[in-house]
Amino acid sequence: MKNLVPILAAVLLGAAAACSSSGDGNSGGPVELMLWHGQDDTAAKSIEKLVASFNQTHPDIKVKTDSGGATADTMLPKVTAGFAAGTHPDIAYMYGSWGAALARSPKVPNLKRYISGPNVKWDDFWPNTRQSSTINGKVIGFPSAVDALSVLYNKKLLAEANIKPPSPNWTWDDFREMSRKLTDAKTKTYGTTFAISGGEETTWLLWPLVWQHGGSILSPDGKKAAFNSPQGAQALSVMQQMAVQDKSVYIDSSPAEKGQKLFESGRLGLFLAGPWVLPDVQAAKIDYGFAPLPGTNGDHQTVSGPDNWAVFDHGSRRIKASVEFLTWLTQPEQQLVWMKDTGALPTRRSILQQPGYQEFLKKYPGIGVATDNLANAKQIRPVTAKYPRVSSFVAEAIASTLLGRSDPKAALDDAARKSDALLAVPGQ
Amino acid sequence: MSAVVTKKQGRPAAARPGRGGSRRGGPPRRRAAEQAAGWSFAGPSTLLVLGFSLLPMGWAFRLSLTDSDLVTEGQSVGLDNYRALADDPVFWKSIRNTLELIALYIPISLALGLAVALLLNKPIKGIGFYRACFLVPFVASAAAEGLLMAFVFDKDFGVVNGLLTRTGLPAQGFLDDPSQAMLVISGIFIWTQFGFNVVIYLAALQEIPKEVMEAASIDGAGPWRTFRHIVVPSVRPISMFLAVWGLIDCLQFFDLLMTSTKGGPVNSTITIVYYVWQLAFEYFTAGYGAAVAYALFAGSLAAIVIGLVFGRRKGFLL
Repeated sequence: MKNLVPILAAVLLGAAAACSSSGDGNSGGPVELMLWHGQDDTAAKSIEKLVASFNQTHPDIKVKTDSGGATADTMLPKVTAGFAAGTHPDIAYMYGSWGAALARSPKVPNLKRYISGPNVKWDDFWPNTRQSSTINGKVIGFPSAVDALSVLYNKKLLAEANIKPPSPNWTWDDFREMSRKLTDAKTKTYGTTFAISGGEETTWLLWPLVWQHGGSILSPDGKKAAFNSPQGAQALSVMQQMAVQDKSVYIDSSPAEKGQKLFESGRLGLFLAGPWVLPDVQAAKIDYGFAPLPGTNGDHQTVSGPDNWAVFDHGSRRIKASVEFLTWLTQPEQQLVWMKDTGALPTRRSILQQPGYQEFLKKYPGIGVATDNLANAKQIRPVTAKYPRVSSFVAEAIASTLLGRSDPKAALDDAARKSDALLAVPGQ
Repeated sequence: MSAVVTKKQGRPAAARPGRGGSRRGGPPRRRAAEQAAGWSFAGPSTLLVLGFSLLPMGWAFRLSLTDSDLVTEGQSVGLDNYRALADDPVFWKSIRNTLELIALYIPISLALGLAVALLLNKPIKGIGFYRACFLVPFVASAAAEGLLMAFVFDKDFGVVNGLLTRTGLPAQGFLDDPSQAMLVISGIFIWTQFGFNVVIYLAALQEIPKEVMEAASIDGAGPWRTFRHIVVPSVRPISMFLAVWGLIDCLQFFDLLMTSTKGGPVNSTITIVYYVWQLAFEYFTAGYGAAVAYALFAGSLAAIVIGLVFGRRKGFLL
């Protein structure tokens, strides 16, 4: 209760502000758009630079930017508070996992009729990013970023331990063995790290392992949990053996991403992460290499997190202008500027043929492996508004297993029971 | 504020009971002017109370009867959200954690606050500096302190475990150990908040008349008896106030958690308010979250009413 009050206060204030300043753009003059980009530091500067150059070349549209919050993490609550007051932006950076919730909102228009335009080149986007922008046939926005979980390794630590860099067809046994060799209790060096702070950052490490073992997250109709299958238990055992028996894992319970800090300080050998950590890792001057995820029987599937530039309804004129802006922003030329500034991966296939792509590869050594790894992202996480809750149940199971408090099968069964009860509730 | 207005409207009739009907409330014009003046004073505050407290409360109650996710309106589900509370293990866990926090926080922070206030009430050189030292943790942002403490109590790289192992004691799991995490969090919370108690107690101690203390020492009372029979009774109303205040602080405990444990590991540090936040903004179940919030509201209202009645009866409160 108490914490709803400030939000409502913000809503009320927002309503007052909206009454005085909205201007829906249906009158003459350039269309004004509000973009909440949710980026900070380098990434924020990069997007603002791009917007400025768009405003110069497109006199009939004026895009204003705002971070919309300190980080993209809080974007959904901010936008939903904006819905109530009519102060929501035209475009916002939205995590892919929010897609199902967004698609249900009447304030999110279906962009299907716009994406067939010749300039959009919709089919040029990677298939999994298109899947993430299209929920039950409703196109909620344009793909903004795509990442796939891969492995960053510290070349110096591996060399010191006489370990050869991971080969493209390495296995989880190799991963476990390397991790064990790299761990040194005396110097507080760890093989790898698993997050257990209870959110999606915990759960998404498990899904690739489940998929590689032939398991799945939910039943095909999405009504039952399927992650507690023998395959799922096998997958979690891999993580458990490393954490509990080998003690070669730094178990990260804080939301402060201490695991990443460990890698940046040269005390972590293998880091399950992706290109999004590159600016920090480069700033820390760590000599890193990229590898795809270890495989199970030759299967190297990974999990990807495509995000969206979601569009919100402020009348058809502003929706059209938003589509025009996003069409421009997602073209290869603009994407390359963004990629070079932030280390983001290409969202479109045609970017790989651009001359600028070679410069990008030069600036971020090894990132080609991460781009190739996008092909290993074959399945997506369930597209339902209930997924975040299911994910929290699984995260709890992972945490108690890695802390040695329960065994994989029992923990997953417990999470499956809770998930089944949740999924049985109609609606949402 | 609205109470002031009703009183004012009611006054003319009550104050002049014997006067004739035509004189009641004075000339109509003056009465209207008085009313307008009254509302112009009370109006802004009334609007604030309505807009920021009562309306949101009403809105949240309506929300608690739906399955809304804040993105869409949601459908009415009657009292189902409240029924579901009974079978929700995380809800009960969050209540147990909150009660644990209250049980640790109130006695320790009061005792510590009074002890430090007694020390700081002495004429020592540089007393202003010492007083500031105890206030800093209270003034600093709780979110930053949570982040800081997550590093201080890190099981592998934290300062505390470093000191423990150096003195030959076994390293502890702290925030990574589900059986210790709530204790550690409570300790951190006491550290961040008890500076406030120190300040309030300090003011109360300085209010104790010198004559009383002098009379006690002439009568031959030592430091302990002075403390027991003069200081403690003098600050009793303040202690009651701080206990109620501390209770409210505990019931609202959130920001420190957000940046240190996020309610984990395995829900071992989840509090009611944190659970409400998760339900509304992480799991898209705002209707159910509002029901939990209302359960918290009912519980805290009951606790505070009992506290006040008890306090009045015992003469702790004026």
